[in-house]
Amino acid sequence: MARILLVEDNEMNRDMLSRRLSRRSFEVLIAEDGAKGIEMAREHLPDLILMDMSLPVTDGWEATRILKADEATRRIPVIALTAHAMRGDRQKALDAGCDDYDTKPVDLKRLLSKIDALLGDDGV
Amino acid sequence: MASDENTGGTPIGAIAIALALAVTAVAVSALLPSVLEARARSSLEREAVGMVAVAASVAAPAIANHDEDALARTVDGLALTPEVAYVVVRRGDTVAIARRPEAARDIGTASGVGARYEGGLLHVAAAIPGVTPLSTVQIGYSLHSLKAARRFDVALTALLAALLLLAAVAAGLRARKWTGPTFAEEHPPEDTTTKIFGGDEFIAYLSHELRTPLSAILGYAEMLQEDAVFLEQQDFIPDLKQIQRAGAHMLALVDDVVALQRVFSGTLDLEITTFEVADLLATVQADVAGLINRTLTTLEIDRAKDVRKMTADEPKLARALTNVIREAAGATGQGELTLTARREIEPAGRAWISFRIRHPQLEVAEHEITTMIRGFGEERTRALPKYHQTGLGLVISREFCRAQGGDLLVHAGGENGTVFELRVPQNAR
Repeated sequence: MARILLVEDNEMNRDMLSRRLSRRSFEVLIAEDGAKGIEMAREHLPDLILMDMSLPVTDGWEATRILKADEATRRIPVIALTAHAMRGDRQKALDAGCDDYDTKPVDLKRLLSKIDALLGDDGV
Repeated sequence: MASDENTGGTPIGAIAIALALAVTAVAVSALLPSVLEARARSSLEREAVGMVAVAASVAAPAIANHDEDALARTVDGLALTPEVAYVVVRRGDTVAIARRPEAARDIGTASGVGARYEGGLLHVAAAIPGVTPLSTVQIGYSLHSLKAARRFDVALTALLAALLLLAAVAAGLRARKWTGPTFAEEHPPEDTTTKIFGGDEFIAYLSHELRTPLSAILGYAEMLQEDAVFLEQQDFIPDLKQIQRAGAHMLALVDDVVALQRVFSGTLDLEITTFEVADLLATVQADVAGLINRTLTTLEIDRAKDVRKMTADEPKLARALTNVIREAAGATGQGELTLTARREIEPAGRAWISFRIRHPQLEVAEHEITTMIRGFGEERTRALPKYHQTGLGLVISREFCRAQGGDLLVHAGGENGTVFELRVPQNAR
């Protein structure tokens, strides 16, 4: 069972996405801000991280940069999630080291295909 | 016209507003004392009950002996002890109090007291169960406090009335200014979004704020549909789908507004990548699947074999194609649409990818084409009432194509239907 760390500050979106992923047999870990996300990633070494970008304490870009600079966590794929429609957002996420990017509202089917692609055969 | 009124006397509208506000001020000042008095009364009663509870506990022997004189002396002579804790319970017009349960023994027989303000006096009643049904005492000093509270009320009311009158006068003055140039006249459209709202960033912020709750609406609606299947409650699914559709519609409108603002402010950015046209078409097919499923529309996609990779802004092309399909299908409610992708080489050697969306059941007259792809909102509704679409989709599609060096063209074929052509250079870099 693949373990996914969901870093998201919006309570409803967190609840909804974690429940839908759990139903698809993922083990879902939760963090409400970037700093907790880093802590959880280091402690639990999840198979994949879904990272909201606009986060309190440490934002998603910074959290990803920190995780990607850390030898222990750099191999964990990170999918950036953002509700921002700012210009160059995708590039900004990729520059921070995110492996893929998706916009909110999450289209679960599309997100699952991205998750599967990054988890590879050893995933689900 | 506006400036004439501005330099002339006070407009009638301004006088009316000032008068209305003045009347409101008088009405409020008439009503306010009773409201304030009720508040003062309630706090006084609370305070009095606190004080009398102490008195009652001490006065319990006097009450037990039915000695009214001794009782009055006891109450008057008591010092206030605010540090004593009470449980205060309001029951209608009276306030009942009791000391904390754990301290109940200390009170002796005085288990409860009540206070009521009436006729300018505070009536305090202490009930001693098993000894006396109810004894009433009057407390003089509370009256004094109430009088002070009243004076304060009057002062406050006067101040408030004065403030309201001032506001009325100010509003009257403002009303005179309103006859001058309007906000829109003072701020040309190109200035408004950029200078007043901070332009692109404001729109992006607004979009983010709207998207976050929309994410929740769409996500929960989808999740409940999964639940309905799991719990074998399929009856709920159609309603849940309606929520999801309405949410998706709103999301599309939010995206349209963002896109349009970018177009108008000239801040439309391209993210050019090289991608497979087949993937692009698959995205479009998935995006319009909902629409196709719920209308009597069909969509056939046909990609020529030599249409493989292209270098352009994939998300914007997908959006442009999706918009055109939605608008075309939405115009008739049904139809057998086809989407073809062809590669065309100019004599000069430049390669183009031409996406053609053919709608055989849609008749568009030549003279309607310009309005159809350029107009939106009211202008379009007036000119093309039969299409029932905002038209934002086509305007945006056209601009997305043009930003990549291409264009959106409409070929009106009369009874043979209409063809929308999105032409984009194979390499838009």
